[in-house]
Amino acid sequence: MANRCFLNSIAQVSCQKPLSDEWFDSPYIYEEKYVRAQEPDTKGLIVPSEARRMSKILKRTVTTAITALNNSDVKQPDAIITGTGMGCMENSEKFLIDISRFGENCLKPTLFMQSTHNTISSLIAIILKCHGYNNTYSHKGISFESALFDAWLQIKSGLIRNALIGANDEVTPFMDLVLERTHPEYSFVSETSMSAVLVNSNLPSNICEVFEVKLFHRPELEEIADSLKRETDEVLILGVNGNPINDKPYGDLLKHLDYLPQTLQYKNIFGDNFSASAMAFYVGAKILEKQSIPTFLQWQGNLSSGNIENVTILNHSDSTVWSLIRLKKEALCGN
Amino acid sequence: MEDLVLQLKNQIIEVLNLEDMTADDIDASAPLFGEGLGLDSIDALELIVLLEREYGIKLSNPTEGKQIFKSIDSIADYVSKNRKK
Repeated sequence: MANRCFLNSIAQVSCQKPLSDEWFDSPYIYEEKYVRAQEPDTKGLIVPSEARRMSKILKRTVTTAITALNNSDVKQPDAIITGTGMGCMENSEKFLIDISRFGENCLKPTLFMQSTHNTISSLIAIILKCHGYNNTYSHKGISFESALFDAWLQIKSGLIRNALIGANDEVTPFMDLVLERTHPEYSFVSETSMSAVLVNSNLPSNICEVFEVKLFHRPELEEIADSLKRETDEVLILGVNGNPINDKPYGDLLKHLDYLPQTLQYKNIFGDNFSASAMAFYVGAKILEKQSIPTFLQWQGNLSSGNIENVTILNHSDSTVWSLIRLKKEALCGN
Repeated sequence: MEDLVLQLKNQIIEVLNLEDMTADDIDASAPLFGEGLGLDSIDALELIVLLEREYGIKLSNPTEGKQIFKSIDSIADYVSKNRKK
């Protein structure tokens, strides 16, 4: 796979200020355990007549997708690939409530059409009139990495030149109640919509190189540690959240390293949900772009004061599936 | 009839998510599709569901629909004559 894969632009909607980097200097800090996303201003990005039929997650998704494309060198992507753990949850809930109230008669067509997981990728394609490869991955907490891995492999192998990727999850109040039971390890729950444009060209406008993407199914921790040992990473972003159930696998993994990496957290700022790791990707890209690390992201080790060349993101879903994403600064900008 | 027209306007605003509109913004005699509110075929399905849920009216003849959904006034007229609840 001779081709290289670069991150050209990225945009987010979360519990921080939408479509903005302001969180980097002055993040919103929440006391609550569950916070919904800050809704973006869709004016100029979504036609009002189209917006009225979209649920919150669809508006957020289209907003980040259009913003990422507008900020990129790509106008029409070769592929649209997204990940989502739960899909359009709000519409699914309304649709199920309607079924219980009205039986299988009198069901609203819009809720039916927009309650599936692949609504998200397909809606972006409809708006962009993009007839290229379109796929949605729904693999719980590893959905984003699965979408990224697909795009990365296709770009590396020359099947596509660029891709619009993303991850989206909404957490309704009911879903939060369910998560309290199914995922007691979540300490701060919020929502995520992240879109990014990947390209195969080494452009000056690129943010960083997506150097490596790996997925591990039920791995031995040594196997992941070996992947890290190849070069001493200056920055390691982990999905830690302060809850011992969630954090133990990361602690166990670090014991296998023969050096002490600088480890960062991000869930204290962006919260947990099945697409949370997409925000780690976003945070890693912004750290490389700005060449600084906000102190509130520090988890263990001293903050680097020199150049930041590598950011590695490690995530696990229920300790069974792990992902490793390595972003590199050194190889970009037409060097 | 005026009450029914107002009720239908509010129900249509809610069902079709016409968030920026109020009942006063909708001309009851203006066309709903194409011009006027500019509704489309999916909205037509939503209106069929609305009539069935709220007024117990089942539309079985598609050609009938064109005339019924011409405007809010025409819907109100049909509902007042055919409603079952």
